[in-house]
Amino acid sequence: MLSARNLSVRYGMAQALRGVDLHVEKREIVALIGRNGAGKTTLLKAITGLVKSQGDIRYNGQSIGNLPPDAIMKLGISHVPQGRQIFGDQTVEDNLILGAYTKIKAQPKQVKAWLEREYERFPRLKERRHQQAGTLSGGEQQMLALSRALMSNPDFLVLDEPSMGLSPLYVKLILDTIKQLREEGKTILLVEQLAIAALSIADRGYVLSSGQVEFSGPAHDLLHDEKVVQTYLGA
Amino acid sequence: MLQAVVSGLILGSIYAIIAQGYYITYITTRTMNFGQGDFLMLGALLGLTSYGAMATSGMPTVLSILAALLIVAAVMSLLGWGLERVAIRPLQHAHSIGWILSTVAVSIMIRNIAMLIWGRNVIPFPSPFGSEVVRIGDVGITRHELFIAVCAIVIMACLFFFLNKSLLGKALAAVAFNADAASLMGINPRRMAVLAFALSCALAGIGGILVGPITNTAFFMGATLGLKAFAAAIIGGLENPLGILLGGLLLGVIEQVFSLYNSAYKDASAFVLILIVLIFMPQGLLGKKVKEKF
Ligand SMILES: Nc1ncnc2c1ncn2[C@@H]1O[C@H](COP(=O)(O)OP(=O)(O)OP(=O)(O)O)[C@@H](O)[C@H]1O
Ligand SMILES: [Mg+2]
Repeated sequence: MLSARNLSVRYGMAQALRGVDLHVEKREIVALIGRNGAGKTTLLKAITGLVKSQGDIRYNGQSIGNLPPDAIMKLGISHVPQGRQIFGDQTVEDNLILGAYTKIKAQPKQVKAWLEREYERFPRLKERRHQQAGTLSGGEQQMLALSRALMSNPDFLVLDEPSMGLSPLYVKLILDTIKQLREEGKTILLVEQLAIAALSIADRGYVLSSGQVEFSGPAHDLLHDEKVVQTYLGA
Repeated sequence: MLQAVVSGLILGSIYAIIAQGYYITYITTRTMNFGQGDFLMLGALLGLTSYGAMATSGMPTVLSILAALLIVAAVMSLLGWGLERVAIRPLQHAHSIGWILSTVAVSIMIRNIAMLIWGRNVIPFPSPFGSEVVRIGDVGITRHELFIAVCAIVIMACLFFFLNKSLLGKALAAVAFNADAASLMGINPRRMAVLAFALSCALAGIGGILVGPITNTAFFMGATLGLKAFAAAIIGGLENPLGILLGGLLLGVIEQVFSLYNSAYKDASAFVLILIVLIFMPQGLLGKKVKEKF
């Protein structure tokens, strides 16, 4: 469904990604793990067009490497960025409506239904729908960021540390939601610091180190690979 | 005194309309058109010419005015689009302030072109409504001033509705808050920047038509008016449209009240007001809305 080949990104003189190969198949959950500064966020940004990259990125066979983010999003790829990045000065409901910006004119009824679907997924958001999004708690903001990304009914979800700063209960809620989204037919590329948790819901995983893929394979194998466990899973 | 307050409010509402143009482009792109005043001048002259053409061709007054407003808004939007492409986008990397110079440069070009077309002299801009004065109690208002008041209310209402309630307004605010995140929603930030500049220039043009019959028109009329509108924006708080409205009205009233005593104080009073506001309220009267990001 999505493939990146020989992908490189540089920020000025610093090389953040060097020749990364990665692919994600339909209805897979693929986990991307690695230390701070390994280049995980950069890789996601390259895929969704937020940073310029060299190499070849294809989505359903179409080359998307040179498209701007708003064009890539319209193909059905939704990106929940690291740190949530909700629109803090607008209400919860306006944030969700903006998530459906590209669909609302053509399919207003559908968007209404999707809004109800998201309110059912996270009833907390419904309670707070007229509240300024910037005043939500961290966990609520994470729910909002996820729901906002789902408001365009994307096929492919790119999630950057959706568990960041959350209490264990919220982490479980988010991970369960991710599993459920796969059941609904979505494909997911997931960056996580909680590597064990991420690999245990994933089909396959990639370990990134200094901008390169160091290990990759079925999630189950990575969870039992001695080197990976010692270096990255902190066991 | 009351008379001065009323004409101050009317003058101030024009400042406010022009100043909303600074607001719209500032929040979406963190840049402004420092030539706003000359775009206003162009709007006034263009409005005068197109109104004159239509009125002499026998169109009814009201229809010609509306048509002139529409023509000016359309032409100015187009110029705004051009301005964004030529003077803003190429210069807008991270910390560049080249756009200040480039917008001023464009405005000087416009001023010179206007001089070539319309000449160097002050052109009288007779109000289409005649110079009749309506008396309400002790206060006399010309029909044109009433027209300004109505226009100002309609424009402000449309603008507030557009910014706060429409999808496009929300998208504009989203780009202002976080352009990257907005682009992930499928919003094209460059297109929003163009929209902001088109809107800003259209507001300047309409402001020009409204102010024309009060000040008369000439190629040099823009500089002071643009500066006054900028002052209104700073006094009110550059990031708050309601504050800008207040700032504009306040500025207009203070100017008119001071000119009761000595017309030389008129312009000075405006800038004294800015200094006072900035010393005590550096963010402007209504300041910045509280924003929390994380
Ligand atoms: N805009 C930027 N300009 C310059 N360098 C950058 C920029 N963004 C990231 N980098 C650098 O690129 C490298 C990779 O950063 P990236 O954000 O992709 O890491 P990450 O794996 O997501 O880390 P974390 O787990 O902390 O989120 C880091 O060394 C970082 O300092
Ligand atoms: Mg990161």
